[in-house]
Order: sequence, then C-alpha cells, then structure tokens
Amino acid sequence: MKTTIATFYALLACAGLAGCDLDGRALLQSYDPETGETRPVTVVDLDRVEDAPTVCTEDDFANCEPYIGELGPSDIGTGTLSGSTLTIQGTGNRMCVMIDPQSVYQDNRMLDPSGSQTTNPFMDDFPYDDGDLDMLAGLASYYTGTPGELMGDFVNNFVDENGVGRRVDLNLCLQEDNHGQVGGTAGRATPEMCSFDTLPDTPYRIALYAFSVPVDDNSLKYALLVYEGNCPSTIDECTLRGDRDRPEAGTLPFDVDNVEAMYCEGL
Amino acid sequence: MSSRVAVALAATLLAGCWQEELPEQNLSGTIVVPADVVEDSRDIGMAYIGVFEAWDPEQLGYSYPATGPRVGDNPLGDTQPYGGTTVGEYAYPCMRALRCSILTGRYTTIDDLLDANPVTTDDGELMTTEQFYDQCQWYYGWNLVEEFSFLGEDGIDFTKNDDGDWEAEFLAWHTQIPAGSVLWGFVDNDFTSCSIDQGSINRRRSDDGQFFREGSNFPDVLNFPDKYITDGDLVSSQVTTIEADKADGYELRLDQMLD
Repeated sequence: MKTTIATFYALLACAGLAGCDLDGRALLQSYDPETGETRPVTVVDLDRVEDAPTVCTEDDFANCEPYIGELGPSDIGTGTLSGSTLTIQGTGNRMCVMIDPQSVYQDNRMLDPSGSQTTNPFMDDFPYDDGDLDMLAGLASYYTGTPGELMGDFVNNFVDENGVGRRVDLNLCLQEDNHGQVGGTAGRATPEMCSFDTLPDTPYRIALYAFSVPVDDNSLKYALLVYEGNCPSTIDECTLRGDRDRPEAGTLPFDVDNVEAMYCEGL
Repeated sequence: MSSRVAVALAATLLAGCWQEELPEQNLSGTIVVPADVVEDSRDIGMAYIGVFEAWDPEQLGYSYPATGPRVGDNPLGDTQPYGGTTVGEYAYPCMRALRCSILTGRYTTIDDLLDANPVTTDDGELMTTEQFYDQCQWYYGWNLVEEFSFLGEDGIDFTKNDDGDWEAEFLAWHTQIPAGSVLWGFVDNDFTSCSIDQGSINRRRSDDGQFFREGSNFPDVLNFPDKYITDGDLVSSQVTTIEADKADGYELRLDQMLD
C-alpha cells in the first residue's frame, strides 16, 4: 500500500515537473527555434527603399505594377510589430490603397474561365504559406510611430474641456466588416482596400502591419498599390499579383509556377 | 490558530469594502416625452440617452452634442460620448415581418402589440392573437404569455406623470459623469437605428434552414446620432448639465419633433 502511495506521489511530481519544461515562446511567430532567441521585428520605411512605391492614377491602375514587399514576424504580445510605412502627398482628390498579403486563402480553389470560384481537384489547402497584413492611413502629422524604426498608429490623446483624458482614432483607412460596420480588417491571405479624401500638398502616411507571417518561412510577402481615385467595389486575390513564394520546380501540379497563378489562371 | 483565521477572514471581508475610486458611475434619472408631442406611449420609439462633453445646437440646426473632428468619410465628427443607455431594446417578435420594429417596454398584451403593428398573413388576413401566440411558441418555445419577454404590464417603460406627460426611468451603467458634461438624447421613432444584420442568428435555423439575424441596434448610435435621426424623431431641445458628485435624480425632456 505504501509503495502504491509513493508511486502515486512520484508520478504527480513528475507531472508537475513536466509542466516546468514547457517553453511558451515556441508558440510565438517571432521565436527562432534554432537560436532560442526572439527575432527582431522588421520596420521598413518605404520612402527610402529602392524602387519605392509610386502613386498611380485611377485610369491606368490596371496597368500599374504593385510594389512587392517583405516583412518579418511581429511580437504581437508586446505590441512590437513588423511593418512598413509609405508617405504620399495629398492631391485634393481621393486616394485608394490596396494590399494583398501572401498568398492564397484556399489553395484548393481556383477561378474557372468565367471568373467563378471552383474546386481545384489537384490541390489541398496549404495554409502554412499564408500571412495576414493590416493597414491604417492618415495625416502623417498624426502618425505616432517612427518610419523605419518603430511602428505606430493614428490614435491620439487629449484632455477635453471637462478635464477628462480622451483617445481619438484619426485613422482614415476605414474598412467595413461583414455587417457593414466600420472597423473591420480582412484575415489570412485576403486583400484589403480603403480610400480616403486628401488635402492638396499635405503628406499622408500609410502604415502596414504584419499581423501574422507564414509558418513555413516566417517571411511575409505582400503586394501594395496606391492610386489617385476611388477604389473599385470589390477586389480579390487576382487584383494584385506577386504576393507569393516561388516553390521548387515540380512541387505544384502541371508545373504551374506558383499558387497564385494556379488560383487565378486555372490549370 | 483560530485568532489567525479570524484576522484573515476580517481582512478578506474588508477587502470587499475597498473604494476603488473608479471614474465610472451608474447614472440614473427620468426622461419625459410631452403627451402633446406623442399621444400614445406605444408610439415612442427607441430612446437613446447619452452623456457628452458639451452641447452644440448650432452645427446641425437642432439640438445636438458637440463633436470631435470629422474623420474619413463620416459626414460629421464623433460625439465621443462618456457613456449612455436606452429605454427599451429591440426585441425579435417571433417573425421577420416585425423585425426591427418592436421594442420591449411598450406593449402589455399580444392584442396590444398587434393593434399597433397589424400583420398580414399569407392568406391576406390579419394575424390573430392565436396565430401570433403559436408562432412565438414555435420560435422561442414559450408556453405562457407571461414568458413573452417583450410583453407585460410590469415591464412597461413609459407611464403618465403628474403633468400628464410620458415619463420613464433610465439607468446608464458605468458612465463617466464629469461635472459640466451634458445629458442629451433622442428617440428613434422609425427604427433607423436597428440593423437587420445584427443580433442573434435565427434560432430556428436548424428547422427552417434559413439564415437571418433577429436585428439589433447599430453599435455607433451614440457616436453618430445624426446618421439615425430622421424626420419624425424626437430630440431633447435642451440638455441637462451633470453636477459634481451627483449621479441620480436627473431629468431630460425629449420634446422636439424634427420635421
């Protein structure tokens, strides 16, 4: 009997000690299992990169090549985010911003010749090459971050006339959710867009935030397009191209070049 | 040993008496709708009451809270309320024909509700009390009229006061009420503040195979009241100023009908 009780307590102690061996950092997208360290965030100032994004016009936006960028993982828990910022000059007209994070939401779907989504019988869904990118935009003077160093937002604080501290969100990039309410963002691998009025000769800042990066390589590719004019009513995976990795030859069926091409152009 | 337990117990009990000095308080009072503006209390729509930084009767040409800067495509700035509440809430009255048009606290009986909101059936006949009861019994599983959450004498919000006007109590939970802020409100008589895309999903979806929502108010009504105020709605022509260290006993008159 004593042996049984001792065994029970020994097992209990082992179970308790096993709990001490868990390292929650392995669950973080910024954790590097090879070095045991947390990867630093990537903050990119797109105003200072070569081949910086340019502002297109509404008439030729279909011919305008999107900028293809790449971001590392964020440390969501601490609010230290990877992201990039772009400064554009207001013209007095409306500006449209589109982004498309890597890569395709459902790899086992594709567009048929009529443009309708259908099943791709040769592919399974592969979510591990997908990430999520969100965006804000507003007057550059309201931006609280430092381009190239630290991501910020457009939330500002003030004390009102009754002496109460208040917060006001001056983000102009307002997207609707499924219920038509402002404040929504698209999820994994899904494009987003927004448009907003601008004042002439006034700088505006677009801020892109890596919410999640692909599990397979911890690097999020994205496509970005900015043009002067109204956004279209809808966009899809095929509106902006280039937000994907190029797999090794023979990985995809029928030697298709990449998952985005497979989704948009079929087999 | 027992004395240590007693001390620990006393400390625990005292901890429950700790004053946290939270800025949010429960604000209570009454709203009054003049009887010469609305004759039948069943016609009083959803009443929204908010606590705001200041009052601005000039911007829109009618009584309205002061707003922050206009951001994005919003036609007006955010009123940035400190808090607020409603008198009544949107109820789903068992059928889509009446979705977003029935409030709690307005009707005593099924006849009372159908009298103010007649429903025509597929046969072209007016819905009877029995048919309405059967529909609610099927939809919610209620077996007594007392279970109908949007009916009942006890739940009626508006009653006649000594002046013959309609009066209802309100309670705004956990609201900041700095001295100098103002109490302002409006009554949405045509239910534009109700969204058919909000609220619970059809709870009989597994039976009828239909997806719809039961309807509920938009979440930004107090932030952007102008989006929902239309002709025929009531606003408070004057505001009530919040006083220091006073959280109850306020009165707000919703007396101006917009046209």
